[in-house]
Amino acid sequence: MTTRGGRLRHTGKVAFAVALATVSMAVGLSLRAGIERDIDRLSARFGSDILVGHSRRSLSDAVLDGYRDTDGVRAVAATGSSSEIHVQGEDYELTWLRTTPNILRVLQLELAQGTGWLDGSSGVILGRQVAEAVFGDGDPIGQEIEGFPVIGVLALVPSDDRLREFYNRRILLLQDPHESFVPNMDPGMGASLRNEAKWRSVYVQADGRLPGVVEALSAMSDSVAWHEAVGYYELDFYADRLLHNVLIIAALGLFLMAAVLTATLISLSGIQRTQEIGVRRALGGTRRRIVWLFVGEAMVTGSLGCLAGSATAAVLIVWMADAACWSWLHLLILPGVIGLSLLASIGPAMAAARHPPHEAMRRRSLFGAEAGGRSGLRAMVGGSIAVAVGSLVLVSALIASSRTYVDTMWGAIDDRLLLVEAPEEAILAGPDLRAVDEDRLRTVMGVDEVVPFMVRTLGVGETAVAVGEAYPELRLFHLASGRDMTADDFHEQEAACLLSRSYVERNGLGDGVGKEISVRGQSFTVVGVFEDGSVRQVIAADIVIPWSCRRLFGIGTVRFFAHVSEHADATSVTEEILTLFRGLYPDRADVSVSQVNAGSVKWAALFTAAAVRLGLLGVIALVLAVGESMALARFLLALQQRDLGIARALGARSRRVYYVAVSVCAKELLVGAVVGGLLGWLAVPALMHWFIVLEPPCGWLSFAIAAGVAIAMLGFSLLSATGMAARSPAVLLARR
Amino acid sequence: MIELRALHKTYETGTVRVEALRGIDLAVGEGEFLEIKGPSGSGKSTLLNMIGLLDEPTSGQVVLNGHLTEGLGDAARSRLRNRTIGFVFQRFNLIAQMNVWKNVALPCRYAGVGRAERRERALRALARVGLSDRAQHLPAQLSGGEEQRAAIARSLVMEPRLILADEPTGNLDTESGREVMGWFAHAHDGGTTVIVVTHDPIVDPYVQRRIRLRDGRLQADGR
Repeated sequence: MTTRGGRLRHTGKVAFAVALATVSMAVGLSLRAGIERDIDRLSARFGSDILVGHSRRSLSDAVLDGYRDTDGVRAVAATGSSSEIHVQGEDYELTWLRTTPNILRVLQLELAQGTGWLDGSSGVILGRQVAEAVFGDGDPIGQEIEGFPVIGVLALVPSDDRLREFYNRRILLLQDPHESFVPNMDPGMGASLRNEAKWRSVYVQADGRLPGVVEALSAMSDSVAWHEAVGYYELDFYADRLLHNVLIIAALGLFLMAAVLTATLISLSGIQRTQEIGVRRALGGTRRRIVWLFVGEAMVTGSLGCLAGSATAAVLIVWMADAACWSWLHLLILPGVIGLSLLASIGPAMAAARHPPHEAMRRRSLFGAEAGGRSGLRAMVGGSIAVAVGSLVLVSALIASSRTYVDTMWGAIDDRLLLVEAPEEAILAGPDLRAVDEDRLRTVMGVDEVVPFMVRTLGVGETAVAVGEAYPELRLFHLASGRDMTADDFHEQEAACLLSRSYVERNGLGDGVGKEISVRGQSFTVVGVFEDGSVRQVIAADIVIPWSCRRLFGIGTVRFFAHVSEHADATSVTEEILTLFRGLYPDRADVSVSQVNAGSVKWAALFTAAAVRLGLLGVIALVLAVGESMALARFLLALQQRDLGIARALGARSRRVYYVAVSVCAKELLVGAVVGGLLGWLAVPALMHWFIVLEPPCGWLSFAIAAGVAIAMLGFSLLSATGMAARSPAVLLARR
Repeated sequence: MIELRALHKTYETGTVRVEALRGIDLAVGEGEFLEIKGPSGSGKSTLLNMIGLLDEPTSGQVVLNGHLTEGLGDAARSRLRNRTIGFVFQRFNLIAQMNVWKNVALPCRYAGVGRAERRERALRALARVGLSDRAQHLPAQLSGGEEQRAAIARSLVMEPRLILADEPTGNLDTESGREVMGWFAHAHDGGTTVIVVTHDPIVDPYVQRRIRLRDGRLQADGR
């Protein structure tokens, strides 16, 4: 039997392994829960139960009533088209929006001041920017704007909330601004109504499954295109879900490694105590009682390890509060570990208790006597090592791929690309930018390329953009097939265009290249197809046509991409551009210059943070694999201790201990490492292709890791052998 | 007390077949002090295992204290072993991580005795073998003789009617061996049946009956 100290050390090893497993599981779950929390927050911000419908025709109140009566619909709100009205004597236009009272509730628009529409009151609610532009620091509540009393001011909507941020620049009212203003205003003095104010957009809050509600609403009218509101944030979700999947797979790999290694150690612990089981049975303990005693001990050891691991994990989770959070799944860890301990210990305990007591007492371990038994032990240890190697390969592959992805992403992001524009929906409005401003921009020191562009929505889900000739230089589109448009396409009026891959797929255009499409009556030949829906997409467009064809769009807003030379300072260039345009257009104070890839920079930063999280998981995996592999190596060697004592007593030199250490561990290590490496080599690429879009790293990584683990374990064996070699043969013989 | 009828035990390991016992008939009365001798491989330990219900015969019957043990389930055999038999092993077989009194009290635990009474009985048994001052020590802190005395205290703690000892003096010096045999004699004086498997001549003066085994058969049975 082992000594008390030996037993305690062994119990400590098992508890340590369980603690490491618990830490890995808990932290993996926390990181995953952290991503879920971020998604939930994003989702909660605009409502995951909201549908948005955009109509090609005006919708009547009767149609809205029909939507309200549809199964699964909790509330309906609608808005008309915006109407911009120049206020006499002022240098700004006000953008009015007819809406329904419950728009505030459905879109979760909060009032910062005032009471809103109570009991059908006829006042207006101002967006935050309108309130600031018109009333400055004064209190707008109770004041009048164009004859309407101000009854509320919206809280500022963050600029990254694409669904609702334009409400910052709107005046909400319950009646048609067209009817209110046209009769009273002198058209010659500036009343400008760009659109009729009918119901154009509908927001539906659903209480059932969104796809079912969409189906029911679509059946009522085919003129409305319905989208889930989360679709507005598709790219955000794309990035978050990618990270989510990466972390789930990493946590799964860690869990597998931890579970198998812990189960092996608990099993080995039971196997080692076969002799003790024999003694207890000889003294009158029944088989069942002794089995449950050992299982109970394993469960207590597992629970203690789990509690220690949980405490460590709790500290880590609190420390990583920004990235990680608690999940109800954490509650399953302790029962899981207890169940695992039970499963891992009951087999060896039953096997040991099945032997007659006198036979169990004679054995040093369950596998001590029979060749078949030793094979079982070797299979168990080899299998554990294979799982450890396979899991390490998985986590390492995720880390390597994420790093590559992040590096590629940063490499693709051009943070010197600026967007120069005058917002269409401005409060402080002036003349739009013009095509001739391209030449003025080129005069700014530090600007090395300028590309004008104009965007026009042609229909629901169909956006076209006309771009200047130099657009390929700025890598605005990432071609999937075909080619970019050339100088000939621009100067010789060749009707060429690029299409987005999703447009090609939506319209069944095959591979797209060479096909003919029609834009507002003009025919275009598709010369290239670009990737869309990726975080690297700069312009959200479906069709790209030459700048010379922009006349098809009619009057539109001209914007520019300006690229800053590597030798210039982007901030100074930005200032110079602003100075230039504010000089050219004194009323146009809201001309803005922004970094085009700011969104991509944000995503790249998100991925970089995820890669750091993965690195943390990798460290945990490594500690787990090292700690538990060491325990396995020591266990294998300990089984040989008495035989080594005999060999030493018969004249073997101490260096034989090292030889035995290497030879005993070699088979299990090699088989385990090779099998684990093969598993990783075969399974990891498939896993990464199926569940996440990251490219798997080079296949040789698997074998490099396998070789690393094998070498490390041989090192541990030799380290353990050092202590054994220092003992006298008598001490080795005395140990059982 | 014990009746063995045509007892056979055969071990089979792969193609190797060993007949350890070949038809043993033996009766041991209440209060006897019996010695089983024989060369190595003669079946001494196997016979002791059969009597102690540590193993089951291939054929034949074991009657212990009036109970025919054939066909008894694990619980009944464990209970009979626990209440009737005290074991002393050559290698002592104390559990390393338990202190001495807990080792001694282990049979009481399996008999369902409460902790306080277990402790009291264990300390009383330790006092009988002169180990009261070692009650809190671990087995590793005892000498070989002390370990065997602790093992004897463990065999006495349930006040069994039968003590089975397998080479009890094999790992002890002469003086410790005599001391151990003295404790057995003391138990025997109290009416306990004692069966000792041994090669050691120091056992001879204490026993009343000697059995000799050879090749799994009873070669001699004399007093």
